[in-house]
Amino acid sequence: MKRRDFLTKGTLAAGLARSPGLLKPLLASETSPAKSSQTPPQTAKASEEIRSHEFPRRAQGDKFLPKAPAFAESYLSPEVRISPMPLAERLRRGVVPRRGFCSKIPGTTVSEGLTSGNGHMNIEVTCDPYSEQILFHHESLLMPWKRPFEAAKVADIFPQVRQMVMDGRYQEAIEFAFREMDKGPVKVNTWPHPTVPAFMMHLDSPKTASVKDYLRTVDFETSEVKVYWTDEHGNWMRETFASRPDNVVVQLLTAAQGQQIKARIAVEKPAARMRMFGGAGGTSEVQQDYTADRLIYKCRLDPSVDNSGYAGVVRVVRNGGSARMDGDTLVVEDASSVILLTRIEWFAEYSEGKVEALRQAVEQLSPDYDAILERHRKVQSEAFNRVTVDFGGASQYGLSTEELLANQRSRPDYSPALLEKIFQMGRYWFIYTSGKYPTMVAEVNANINLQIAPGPQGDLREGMDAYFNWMESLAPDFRVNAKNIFGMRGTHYSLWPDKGVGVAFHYSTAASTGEIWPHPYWLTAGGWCCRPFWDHYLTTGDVDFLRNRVVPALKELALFYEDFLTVTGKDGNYIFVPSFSPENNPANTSPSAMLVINATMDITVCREVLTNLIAACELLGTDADSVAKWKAMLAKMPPYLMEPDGTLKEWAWPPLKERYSHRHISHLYGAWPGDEIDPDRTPQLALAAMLADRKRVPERLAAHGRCHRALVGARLKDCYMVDTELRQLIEQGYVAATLRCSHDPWAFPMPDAQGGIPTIMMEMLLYSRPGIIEVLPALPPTLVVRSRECWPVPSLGSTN
Amino acid sequence: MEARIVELTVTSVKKQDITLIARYGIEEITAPAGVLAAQLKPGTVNCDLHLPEGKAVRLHLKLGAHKPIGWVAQVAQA
Repeated sequence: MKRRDFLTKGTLAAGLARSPGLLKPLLASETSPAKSSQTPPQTAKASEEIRSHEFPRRAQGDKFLPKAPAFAESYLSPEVRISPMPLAERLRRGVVPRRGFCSKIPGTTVSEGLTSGNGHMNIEVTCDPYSEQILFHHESLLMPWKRPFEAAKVADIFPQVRQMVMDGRYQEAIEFAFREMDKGPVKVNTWPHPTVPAFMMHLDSPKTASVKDYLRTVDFETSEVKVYWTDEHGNWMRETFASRPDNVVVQLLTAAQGQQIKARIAVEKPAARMRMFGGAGGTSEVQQDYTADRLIYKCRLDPSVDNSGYAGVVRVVRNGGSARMDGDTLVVEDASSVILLTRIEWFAEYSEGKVEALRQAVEQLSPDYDAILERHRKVQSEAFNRVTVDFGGASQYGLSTEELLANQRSRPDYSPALLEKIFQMGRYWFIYTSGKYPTMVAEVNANINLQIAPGPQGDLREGMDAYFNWMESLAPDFRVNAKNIFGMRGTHYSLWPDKGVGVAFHYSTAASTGEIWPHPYWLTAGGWCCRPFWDHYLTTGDVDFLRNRVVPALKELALFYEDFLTVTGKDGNYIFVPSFSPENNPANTSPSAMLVINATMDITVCREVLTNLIAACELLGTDADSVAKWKAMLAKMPPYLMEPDGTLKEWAWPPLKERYSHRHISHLYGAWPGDEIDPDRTPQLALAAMLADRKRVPERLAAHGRCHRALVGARLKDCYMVDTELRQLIEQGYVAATLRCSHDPWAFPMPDAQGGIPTIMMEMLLYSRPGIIEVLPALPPTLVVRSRECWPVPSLGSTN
Repeated sequence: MEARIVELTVTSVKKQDITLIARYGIEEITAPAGVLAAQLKPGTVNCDLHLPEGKAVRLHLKLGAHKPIGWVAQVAQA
C-alpha cells in the first residue's frame, strides 16, 4: 500500500491523473508477482471487474471458443529450453539494478545484445548461457578513405545551375550538375565507408537440456552486463563491463558452487553485418596470434589505401584449471573462475611494435574485477546521474523490459518505469559511445543531430566536447567544399561528416523512384551542425567557448552566405537559389526536382546563423563593422509563406506546392532545434507551424520523423502531438527489449530515437531560453508524472 | 503534496530578471523575499522574477487548469 500511496499522491501532485483507478491494475500485479512471469502485470484486473458476476462465465461457456493460447516454444535456443527468472525470484535475489534494466530472453544475434562501453570500445553481448557471442567495437575502425580526395570541382557551372533553377528547369539543373560532378573522381552514389566491428568473441560451454531462472541485466551506473541462469549443476553468472579509467573490457566467468568452468573461447573475424548506411570499403588483412594466455587479433583495415589498422589483446587469467589451444580456439578446463581483459587500439600507422606495446600494457593490468569496477563506477555514475527523471517507475521495479513493453502496449497511459528506463538508456548509450568521437551514425540531415540532441540539456559534456572537436577538425574539408562546389568563401558542411572526413562526397539517385537528392547543394548542414555549439553556450554561459569556438564557426558560415546571397527579388529580398528542403520535392514537381528555390529551412538556418552571430559579437563587443553588414543581410531575408489555410509552407516560393506526405519536417526547424517560433513571440507563425506539423504524413516510418514531429510539438506546446508520436515510438517497434532504438520499426539498431526520445522527454517537461523558464510546456495528457525531475544547472543556465 | 504543485529550484549564474511561464496558469507562487517582481494575479501564465547570482531559489507553484495549447484559440480569434 505504500507504493500505492506514493504513486497516487505523485499523480495528484502533478494534477494530471485522470483517475487513480488507472493505477490499480499495476498495483494488483504487485500483490501476486509470481503468478506468471510471462503474463504482463497489468492484466491482473480482478479488482477492476465491472461486468456482472454472471456475464463472463456465461460468455466463456460458449461451445466452440478457441482454446486458451499457449506460449510458443522458444525458437531462440532450440537446443536448450530457457525459462525466465520469475519476478518474485528477481526481487528475492535483488538482481535487477535500480538504475538499469533486466531482460528475460537472450538475444539470438548481437543486434539483440545488451551493451556496455567506455567511449573508445563498446560491446554487444547476446547473453546466451552456453553459446555466448560478444561483438567488440572500437570507435576509430572506419574503412579508410584514400586521401587526398575532395569534393567535386564544379564551381564553374554553379552560375549555370543557378540560372536553370531560376528558370524553373529544376530537374534539368540537377541532372546537369550531377553529370558534371560525375566526371571527377568522386562518382555519383558514392556512399560513406562503413564503420567496422573489431572482432567477434564466442564463449561456448557444455549445454544442458534446460535452463531456468534466466535473466540478463544492465546496470547503467556501473556499465555491467550480467547474465544469470540455473541448470542441473547450480546457479551461474557471467558479468562484463567496459572500464573508462582502465580502458579495458573485463569479463568474469564464475562457476556455480562446487562446479568448474569449462569453456571454449574463440576470437574471430565478424560476419558481415547489415547496415543501413555504408559502402563496401576495401579488404582487410587479419592475423591471429593466439596462445593459452592471450589472444591477439591484428588487422590492417585496407592495405591498398593506407597502413591504418588495429589490434585487440585478450588476456586470459584463470583461477585454477588448465588451458590449451585447439586450433584457433582456447580451451579452458576446470577453472573456478576466469577473467578476460581486452583492450583494442587503432593505429594510424600499424606496426608490430605497437601491437607488442599494447600487449605489454594489458599485461600490466591487475586482474581484479572489483577494483577495476569500482574505479569505473565512480566515473560512470557521476556522468550518468547528472540528470535524472522520476515518473514514479519504482512502482514497477523488477519488471523486465519485455514485460514493461507489453505493459505499455496494453494500457491507456504510460508505463512510468519504461519511460524512465528509455530516458536512462539514452544517457547510458550516449556516454558509452562518446570517446574521441561523439556518438554518430549516418547523416546530418536527420540522424546525427538527434543522436547528440540530449547532450546540452542533459549535461553530457564529455560527448559534446567530442562533437565540437570532431566538427572543428573537419573545417578544412568544409572550406574546400565551399570552394569546389560553389566557388565561395567560408565553409560548406557535408551531408555525411565522418571520422576524419568532411568531404561532400555524397550525391545520389534512386532509379526505382526517380529521386535525385541534391545534397551537395544543401546549404543548411553547417548551421544545423553549429546549433549545438550555440546550445552549449546557452546552457553553460561559457563566454570563452562563445568567443573561441562558436563565433569562429558562425563567421565562416556567414562568409559563405555573403557570397551565396547575391540574387534578390523585386521586393529587394534575397532569393535562396538553388535551395533544397531535405529530402522532399514540391507536389508539382517530380521526385527528380528537389533542387528548387527558397526552402524554408534554408531561410531559417541562415537567419539563425546571422542572428546568433550578431548576438554573440554584440555581447563580446567585437566585429562592429561585420555586425552592421549581417544586420543588413537579415533585413533582406524573405518572409515565410503560408498556404490558404494558414499552414506554413515548406518553400517560400509561391509556385511550389506543398507535399505533405513526407517523413521530414525540415521547414519547422525554427521551432526545434531552432528557437525563433513560439506562441508568445511569433503567434501566427507558431500556429502555421503547428498546422504544418499536424498535417504531415510520414511516407516512411523513420524514427527521426516521429522524433522531430514530437519535438516541434513540444516547442509549440502541442501536448497531443507529443503524446501521439511518443506513444508510437515506444510502442511500435522503435524500442527493443534491449532498450536499443531502431530507425525503422522492428529493425536492427540505429540510434536516431536513442537520442531523440530522451530529448522529447526533456522538452515536454521544461523549456528555457534566455530570460524565460517554462515548466511542463507539453506534458502528454495521459502521462502520470511525479513532479520531481532533477534538472541540472544547464537547463537553467540558458537564462544567462 | 497537493494537486498541481510544482517545486522548482533555480540557480542563476548571474543576477538577472527572468519570466517564469506555466501555461496551466499559476494560481499561487511562493518564493523567497525579493524574488517576485510583482504580486501575482492568480491564473496568469507568466510572472517575473529577480534571480540573485549563484544562489538556489526555491519556488513553489500551484498550477491552474488551463491547457498549454490554449494559446491556439487566442491566436485563431485574433
